[in-house]
Amino acid sequence: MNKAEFKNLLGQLGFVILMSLTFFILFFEHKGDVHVMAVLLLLWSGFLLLRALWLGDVLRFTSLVIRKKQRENLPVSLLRAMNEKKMSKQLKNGMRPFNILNTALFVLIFGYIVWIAINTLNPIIDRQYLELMREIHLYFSLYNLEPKDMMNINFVLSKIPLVLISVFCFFLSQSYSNNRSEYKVVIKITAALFVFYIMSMIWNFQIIPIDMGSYKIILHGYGYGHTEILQRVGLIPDQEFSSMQLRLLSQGLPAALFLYGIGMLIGLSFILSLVRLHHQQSLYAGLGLVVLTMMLTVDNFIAYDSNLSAFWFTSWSLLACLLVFARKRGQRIYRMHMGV
Amino acid sequence: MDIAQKIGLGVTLSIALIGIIFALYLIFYETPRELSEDYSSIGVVYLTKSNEEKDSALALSFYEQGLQASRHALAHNPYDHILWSRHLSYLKMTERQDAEAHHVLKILHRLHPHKEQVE
Repeated sequence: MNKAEFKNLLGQLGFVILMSLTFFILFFEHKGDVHVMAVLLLLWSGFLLLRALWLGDVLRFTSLVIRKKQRENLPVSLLRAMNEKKMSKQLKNGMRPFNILNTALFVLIFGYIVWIAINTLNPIIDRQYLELMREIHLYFSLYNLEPKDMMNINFVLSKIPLVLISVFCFFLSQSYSNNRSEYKVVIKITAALFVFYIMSMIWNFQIIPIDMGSYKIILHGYGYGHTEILQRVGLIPDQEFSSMQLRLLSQGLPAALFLYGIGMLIGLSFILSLVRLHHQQSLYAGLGLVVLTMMLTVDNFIAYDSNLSAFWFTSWSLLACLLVFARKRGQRIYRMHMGV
Repeated sequence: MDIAQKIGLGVTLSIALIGIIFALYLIFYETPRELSEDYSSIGVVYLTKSNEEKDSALALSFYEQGLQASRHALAHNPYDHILWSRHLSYLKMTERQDAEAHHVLKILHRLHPHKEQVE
C-alpha cells in the first residue's frame, strides 16, 4: 500500500466514522440543538473541503507524474506509472458525483432553501395570530422593548445545517461509492444504520399513525416553527402530524414539491435502471425503490418525531450509494457487450 | 483534469468553505431562546434577593430589576406561555402592577383561547 492509498483509506475511515457519529447524534439528540448541529456542519464542511482538495491535488499531481514517467520508458518506471494510473482512475471515479442528475438535485435543494426563507419571512398570518402579535407588540412598546418575532431569518438559518449535512453526506457517499475498493464498506455501513433505525422504530413502538382526516394542503405556509403557537391559538388542531403535514403547514406546497421533485428524479433513475433488466443492476434499483417507498410512507403516514432526522439522514446516504450501483453496473455490462 | 471536473471541484470547494463559515457563525450565535433563559435566570436572582430584603427601598429596587429582566426574557421568547405565566406570578407579588397584570392576562388568554383558567 503506497502513501496515496493509505491516505485514501484514512479518508474513507473518517467518512464512515463521521457518518455513524452524525446518525447517532441525530438519533439521541432529540431537541436538535443549534450548536450541536453547527459543530456537525463544521466537521462535514471540513471533510468535504479536504476531500475536494485531495481529489483535485492528487489528480493534477498524478497526471503530471504519469506524463513524466512515460517519457523515461523504463520497465520499472512503467510499472510505477501504471500504479499511478490506477490510483488516478480511482480518483477520477471519485469525481463522478459531478453529473447532470446530481446537479438537478442540488438545484432543487437550493430552491427548497430559498423558498423556506421567503415563506418564513412572509408567512400566512390569520386573524387570531395577528391579534396576538398586536397585543404582544403593544405590551412591549410600553416598556421600550422590541419583541423577537417568530418570522425571523435566524430561525430558518438554524434549521439549514441538517439540510446541508444531508447534501454533503449524499455527495460524499457517491464519491466513495464510485471507487470499487471502497463501495462495499460505505454501503454496508449505511444499510446497517438504516436497518438499525427501522428496527428501533418497531422495537420502541414509535410507529404512530396520524389522523388523515386533518390533511390540509396549503399553497403558502404559516412559516417555520409556528406549529406550536398555531396549535395554542387554535388555528390548527392539537394532534400528532406527519412530516409531510408539518411541511405543508409551515412551508406550503412549493416546499413539498421541491423535495418530492428530488424523490421523483431519483425514483425515475431507479426505474430506468430497472427496465434495463440486468440482474445486479435491477437488484440495487429495486432496493432503491423500496427505500424510497419507505421514506414516502414515513413522510406521509407516521407521526413526526424529532429523531426522524436520523432516518432522513441515513435514507439519503443509502439512496446515494444505491443510485451509484444501479447506474454503474449497467455501464460495465454495456462495455462488455461492446467488447464482444 | 477536464473542464467539468475543474468546475465541479471549484463548486465543491466553495460550498465547503461557505459551510465552514456558516457553521462558525452558528457556533457563536446565541439563539433568542438562550438569551431568554439567561434573562429569566437573572430575573429569578433579583426576585429572590428582593424577597430576602423585606420592606426596604433595596427590596423594591431588586424587585423592579427582576421584573425588567423577566420582560427582557419575554421579549426574546414572546410566545412562550410558561414565561408569561411566570411573569404574571411575579406581578402578583405586589398590588402596584395591576395594569400590567391585566395586560399579561389578556395575552395569556390569546395564547390559550380555549383555556378558561390561566395560572
